Amino acid sequence: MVELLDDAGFKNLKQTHIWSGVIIGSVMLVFLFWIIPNFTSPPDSKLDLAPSFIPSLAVAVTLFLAILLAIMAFFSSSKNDALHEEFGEEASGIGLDEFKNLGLWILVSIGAWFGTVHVGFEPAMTVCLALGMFFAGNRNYWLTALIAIATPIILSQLAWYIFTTELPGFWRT
Amino acid sequence: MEMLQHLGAGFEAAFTLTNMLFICGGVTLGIIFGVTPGLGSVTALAILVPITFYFSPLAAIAFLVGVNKGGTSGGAIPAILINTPGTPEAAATALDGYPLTKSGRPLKAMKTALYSSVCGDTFSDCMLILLAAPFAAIALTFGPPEFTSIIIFSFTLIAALAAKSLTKGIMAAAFGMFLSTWGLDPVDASERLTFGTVELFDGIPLTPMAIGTLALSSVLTQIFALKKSGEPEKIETDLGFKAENKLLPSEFWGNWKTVLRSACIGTGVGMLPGLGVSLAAFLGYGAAKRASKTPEKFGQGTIEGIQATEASNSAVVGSNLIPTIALGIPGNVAAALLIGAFMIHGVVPGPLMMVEHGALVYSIFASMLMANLAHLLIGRIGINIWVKFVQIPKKIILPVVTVFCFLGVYIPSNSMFDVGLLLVFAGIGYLMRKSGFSIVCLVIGFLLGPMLEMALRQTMLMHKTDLTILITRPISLVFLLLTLFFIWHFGLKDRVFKKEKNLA
Repeated sequence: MVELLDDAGFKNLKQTHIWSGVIIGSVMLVFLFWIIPNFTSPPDSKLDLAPSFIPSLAVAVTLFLAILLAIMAFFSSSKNDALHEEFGEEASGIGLDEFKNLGLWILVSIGAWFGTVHVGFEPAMTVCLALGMFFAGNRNYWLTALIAIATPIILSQLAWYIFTTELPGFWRT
Repeated sequence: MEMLQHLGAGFEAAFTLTNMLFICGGVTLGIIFGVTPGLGSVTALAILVPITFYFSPLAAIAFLVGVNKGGTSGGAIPAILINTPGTPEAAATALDGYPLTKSGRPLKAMKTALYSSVCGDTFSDCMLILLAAPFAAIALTFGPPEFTSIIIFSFTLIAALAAKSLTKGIMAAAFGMFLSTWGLDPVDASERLTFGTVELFDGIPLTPMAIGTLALSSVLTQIFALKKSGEPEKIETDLGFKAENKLLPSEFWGNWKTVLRSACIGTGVGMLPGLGVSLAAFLGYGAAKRASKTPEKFGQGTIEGIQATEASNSAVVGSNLIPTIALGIPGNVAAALLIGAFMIHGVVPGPLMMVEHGALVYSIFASMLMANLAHLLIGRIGINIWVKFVQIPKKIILPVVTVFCFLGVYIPSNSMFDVGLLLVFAGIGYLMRKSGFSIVCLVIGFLLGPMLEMALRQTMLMHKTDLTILITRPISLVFLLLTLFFIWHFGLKDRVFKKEKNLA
């Protein structure tokens, strides 16, 4: 795991493949042996497939390939550079930075979701937009404030007048 | 002859002011999304598909077709002006487009790209009109066993070609298929993986899944990249002098063979599920270079290079609807999103579509041809305006797009549960992008999953659980053998030969 979280330059895509295989495989095992049997009904007819058949098949295929991916990556002699070239710049592998980013996204998502439900679309999106622009590197605060305040208000008006959709907001009925 | 009559009727239905406005609106929005850094036609389609819920079926599809056409060609503008393709398929356009800009002829390059794009698109649409009905007629003779094999074959082809690794491609497609099985069972309506949640009874909706994985995760990835590496403060776009930017008809049509060749290549690539638009662009470019008397000029700023790539990548747009309309199998992710749009309006793509909704299909064909004209006019008139969109900083536009994603999900469903799914899928999409799993395969697996399940269960019921029918019916057998061939070709052959080479 230490190697996986090594953040020197490109993350180790080979390690990412190994850990992806292990983690996805483990999740699929839980689905295959616990979740699918407990949350699907038995078959209706002897001639038909059980409702659990296709989900189980899809999960079994994913599980098999996850194991294969981990094994192939483990024994692969491919250099990391070649893997990065193969999968493109975007696939930089998963490391500490990506886990931090994901954690941040989860926090923002929870905040945005609860903010929208309990306060309203406009205030929640204003805060999200302002934070998003600041995070992305915009340091023109007047422009940030203008866009962050105006965009949700304009969009909520458009949603109402064009699509007759009322966006969430505690001041609305 | 009958086809022309149907097309005439299609034009009659499509030639209305409302429809024209939707087409023009779609093309304009498509170009804006294509030009704006960090967006692109897929993001545009993903966000705009749910909004078309409120339109008539014809207006909705015409609008989205316009978006797709505009978005595909719009990506060429930043590629030409700042050597940064707005869409992946425009990367090949930058090879000759940017050198033309550097030599003071950006408008000439942009005009060439636009005209070539419209030519390729029109050619491809004509092929679609000619081939969709005969292909659908053949597909009508297929039964559930043939469909089962064709869908399995499509899964393999898409996983092998759309993803860079067969293993990861099939994993993503299988996971997408698994997600598509949540909800009520399609045959006996019993609960399946709903966890008692009423919102999941109809399954995971396509909209939050597609917007989350395709659009929002892309925005997230770019925002995190911006945080790390920053963005250049100001993008300069000098349009040069008027005289140097004039494109003479003789200059453009002098290379008609290149345009036609590339249009044929793009059409062929679009007809096969899984082959991407980018591949068409590079194949077209390569073929033009090989056929050219002056191949050394390629990469130095020749208009022939731009013609080759733009005619190729735009020709994919029409022809990828051939498998969509004939078989219900999407040619690429844009077609997958269009399938979603068809389904929103109660039209199920597949061979029966021509029978049940023939008038609508021909109206869509007519709208596609009209969209090409709209594309030409809007693209040409607005050429100086599109340049302004290239200058919008990503640090402003990307956060704004997240709000559009949110609205794209909330407006048609009025459900915060769906918004929650959007946020979850954006996180999944981010991890998939970083670890090199194909999101295209995930989305197409999600769309093809229910089709495979229905076809397989119908086969079981009709043939009393005897699955040997899959290998005793000739067409079904052919597709299964093709599936095995592709697994061998893309998954095993390279490994075996690499190993042999290493041993030698």
